[in-house]
Amino acid sequence: MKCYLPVSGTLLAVLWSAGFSAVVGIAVWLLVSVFWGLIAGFGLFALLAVVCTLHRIGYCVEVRDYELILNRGFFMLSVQKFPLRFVTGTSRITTPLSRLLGVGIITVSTSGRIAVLIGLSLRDIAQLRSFLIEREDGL
Amino acid sequence: MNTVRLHPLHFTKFIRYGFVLCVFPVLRALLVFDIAAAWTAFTQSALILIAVTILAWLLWNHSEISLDDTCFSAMYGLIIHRTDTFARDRISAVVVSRPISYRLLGAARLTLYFKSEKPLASISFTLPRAQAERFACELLPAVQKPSVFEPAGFDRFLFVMLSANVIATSILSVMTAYRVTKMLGQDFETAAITGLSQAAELFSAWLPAGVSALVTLVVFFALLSVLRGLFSTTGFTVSRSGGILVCRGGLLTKTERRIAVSAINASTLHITPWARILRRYPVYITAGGFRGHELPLIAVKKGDEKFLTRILPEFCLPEKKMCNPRRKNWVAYFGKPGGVAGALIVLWLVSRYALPALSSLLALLFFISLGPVIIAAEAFFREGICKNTNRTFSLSYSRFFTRYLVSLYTNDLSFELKMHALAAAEGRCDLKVRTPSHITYRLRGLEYSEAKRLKFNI
Repeated sequence: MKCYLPVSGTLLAVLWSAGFSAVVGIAVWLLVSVFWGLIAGFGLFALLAVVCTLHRIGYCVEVRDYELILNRGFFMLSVQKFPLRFVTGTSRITTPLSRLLGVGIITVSTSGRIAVLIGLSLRDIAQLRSFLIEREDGL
Repeated sequence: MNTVRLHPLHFTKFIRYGFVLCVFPVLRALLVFDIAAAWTAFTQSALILIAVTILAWLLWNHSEISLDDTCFSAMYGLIIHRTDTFARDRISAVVVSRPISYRLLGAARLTLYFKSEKPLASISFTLPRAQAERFACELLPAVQKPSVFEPAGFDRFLFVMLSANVIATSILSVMTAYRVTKMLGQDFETAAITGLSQAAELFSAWLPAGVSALVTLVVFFALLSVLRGLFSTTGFTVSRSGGILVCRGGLLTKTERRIAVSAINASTLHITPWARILRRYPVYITAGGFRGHELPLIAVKKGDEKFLTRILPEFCLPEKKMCNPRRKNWVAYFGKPGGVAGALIVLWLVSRYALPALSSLLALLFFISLGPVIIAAEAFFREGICKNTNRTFSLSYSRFFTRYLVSLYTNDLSFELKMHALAAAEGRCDLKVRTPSHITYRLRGLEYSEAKRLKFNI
């Protein structure tokens, strides 16, 4: 099983960045001035939007050979591997915005860490969860 | 089902502020032999003392620990009742420790460590001594067997030297002196500093001023840590009964550690400079929430690492080459230690003209900083990971002055390969290995193709 990040998943991250940048911009506006608030808000949004978009170019979740493999990153490539046997739980999180875009967040827990995958399509999340839950039941 | 009450000492954490409010003014007056002031302080705080005692009694009366075939339960709380239940098969280690203060009151601290750190890594209770020992025997039963490791004579001396942890002891002693000063109002800090200054004056007969102060501090904390190691390792024995490791020892604090061998995630040989000189490597183990970093489990002789298989049958030394030094980036290894050494040599050169009084101290620090550079050179050729034929992983990494040789016995791991664009082009990555004990091992400059091929055991 292999799933990639859809465009709407990237859009979700970009919209969240916009929200966060707006909050920072308003804070700077209130503390300093309108001009610096706009600079801070738009500048931060531009930076985060570029970083989010590039980060998600090679985003891929794969289940292969009893392992869960996560490929992420652009400037810093990251490949994470978990043995499926030791996945202790998964959870699915959706917000109104993510449901509108047809994407969501899935967390995969093992004893040592939790992996958070943001922006996968709801269909891929359901497929991945059913696969992981079947593995847990099978054990 | 066995049911007992917690020891009243367990509740001192709830009543200690009230207790401090009552007892320490009395103690302060007694320390300066002012009986009248002590009596006045006592009569003034009698009401608080009575209220605190009643509260402790009520908390004790509403506490209960029980153990049955499948689980361990603890009930406590006065207004809000709380019951914690833990499955027995989740327990990876049980530690019963009896500090002097506890022994005087017939109490023992029972600490349970769990295989997985979520939701809890460990939990501690203070029980009557007999009950604590009985629970430990029932949770992880072990038959009395001959010791596998019982250092005596010169081996004992070496074990004490290896288990001395200078950094931990120095932090602990500074914090203790600070707390005692704050509570009792006696100026222990000034007395300690005066004593150290006098010792530094002795050293300054042979050493420059700045160096003598540093040497005095290091020698003082080293002696303190050796003393602490001596007390911790009195009567130290390690035995194995079936699938349970039992480790006992201690003088001021008697400790018994029971560890389920099946729950052991990793064993680590600490190859410190001191261990290289003594040709003995201390071995620490982790089992879920049990980190075991206070005291090594055992010390193995150099060249006789196979002795460890008597306790950990799956242990083996790395069977293959763990890395390819030709593909490594020297900056990742020599950048930080080399940078520090370079900065110190530059400062030394400048101090020769600007501040000659500091020259000898900077020279000493420079020579000390060469240690991590040498260790980094060793790591350049040895840091890496391999999978052995017995399905365990061996990895080696270095930090500061120490090289660590880790054997991983669990497959409940996660691997993370990280590389920036340049490293990716050169086929090189950093590998992070995470264990259930939430310990992360970071290996630098591995071959990406080899790291990607690492497989978990099915």
